[in-house]
Amino acid sequence: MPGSEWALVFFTLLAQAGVGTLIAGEISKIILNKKSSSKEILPLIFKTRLTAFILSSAALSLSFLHLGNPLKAFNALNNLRSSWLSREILAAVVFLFLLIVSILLSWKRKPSDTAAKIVVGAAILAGLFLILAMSLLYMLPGVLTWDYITTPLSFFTSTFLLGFMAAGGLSITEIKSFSTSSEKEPNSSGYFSELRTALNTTFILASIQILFAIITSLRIHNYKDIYSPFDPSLLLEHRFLFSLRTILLLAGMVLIFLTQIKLNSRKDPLNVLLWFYYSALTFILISEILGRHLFYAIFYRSGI
Amino acid sequence: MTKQYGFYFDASACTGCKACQMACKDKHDLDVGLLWRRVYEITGGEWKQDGKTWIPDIAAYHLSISCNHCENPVCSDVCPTHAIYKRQDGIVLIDYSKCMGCRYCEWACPYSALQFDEAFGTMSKCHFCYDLIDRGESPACVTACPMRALDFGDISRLKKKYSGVGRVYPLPDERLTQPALLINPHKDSDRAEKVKAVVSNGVEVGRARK
Repeated sequence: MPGSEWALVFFTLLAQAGVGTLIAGEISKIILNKKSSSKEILPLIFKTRLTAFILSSAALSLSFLHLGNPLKAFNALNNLRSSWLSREILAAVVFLFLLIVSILLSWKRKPSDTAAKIVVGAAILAGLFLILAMSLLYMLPGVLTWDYITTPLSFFTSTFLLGFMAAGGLSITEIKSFSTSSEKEPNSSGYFSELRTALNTTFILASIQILFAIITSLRIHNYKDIYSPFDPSLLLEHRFLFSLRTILLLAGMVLIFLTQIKLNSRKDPLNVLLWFYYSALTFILISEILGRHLFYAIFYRSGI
Repeated sequence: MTKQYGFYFDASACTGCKACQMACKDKHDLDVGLLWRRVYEITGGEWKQDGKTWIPDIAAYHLSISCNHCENPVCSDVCPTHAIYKRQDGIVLIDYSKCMGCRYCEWACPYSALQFDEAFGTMSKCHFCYDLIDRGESPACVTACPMRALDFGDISRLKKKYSGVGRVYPLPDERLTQPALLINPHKDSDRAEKVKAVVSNGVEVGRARK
């Protein structure tokens, strides 16, 4: 494995979080549209798009740290014909551009604005293509640990998992700002519905990630029987980290479940709800960083 | 493409003296850690008892491998900047003015031919001593070999001149990239696969943990 891949760990996770946040935000908009007025949901739409932009632009900036010669990065689009890396970079740039346009269009406008809808739709498509390109570039023939269906599936799962986590966090922030506001309390049931959706989705996606972590761990174990000119037992050293990732995901899921209970009972103050939710997010986020580190660490190619 | 330059390597003749590796490093003044041609030491096996007799079931030989200037170079396909390209004579080269050092080709090449040059922040690899080739001379590694285990030329001409195969243990499946490489296998190469021999100088060639 060539060198440290922390720049790529954070580039891929932040880019996926950016795409996921935009998609989860638009799903939230649909939920909120049914229960709240457009005036109430405007701040959330703006905040989700802005969060997606911050995450994606941070991702793109971090990707430069991986390059040996960042000043030549402008050549990265030269090989769209056959390089998935070229296509990934193009998709990232297009996604970021459309995101900026959608933020400008959502600035104090009606959420039903047609132009904004078209731009956001195009941004979502560019974002999904970005995740697809990001997945396919790792599916190199001969790289046994990457060239498998779990690579795109886990990348897309991470995208939606991180996105719904961010959307849930933004909903809680909105609920909290309404509860502390001296203004007339809005119909926050829409936000509660959205939070429930985010919690349920996060719970399901976290359990899918556990499944992928187990599949990958089992596949690595089988590689000890596959020929390698170098020591294959190196792969088995990561078993502890795989176990830790699974435990962290499970802990996050338990906390998400407890947040759901607290949310349904509505007996506890909002701060308790926040504490449970942010603890769950922390566990899942650490697990995702660990999972992505492991993805690069288990690079295992046939050949010499 | 009318011509495809390639290497011939006679594993049965190679003694593992590493003169080719050193000649390459010397000619190109490569930094510590960079080896455009590597001599792999393949060793493995054990003693087996047959009745009252102990028989050695072992394999040991050397492989001298550089960039194979593949007919289907996966490094060139995946390179986002188009810095890796094939010349008319089949030699795969790097355009350093385009390479941004993303190291994607390093993941893709099953021969680990592409190596990151920290000093320049770009990838580097064997370029077949194209400067010597263009002057009608032989590559440094071929000239240096005291056993005449290395030869070069148009791969179709090499295939007529020598008998050989495109893949021996532990090289990857040749269908992946169609390397311009012809190898006369060592007598132990089939046994090496059976006994799961390993590269015993992985650290030296920069392909294993220290």
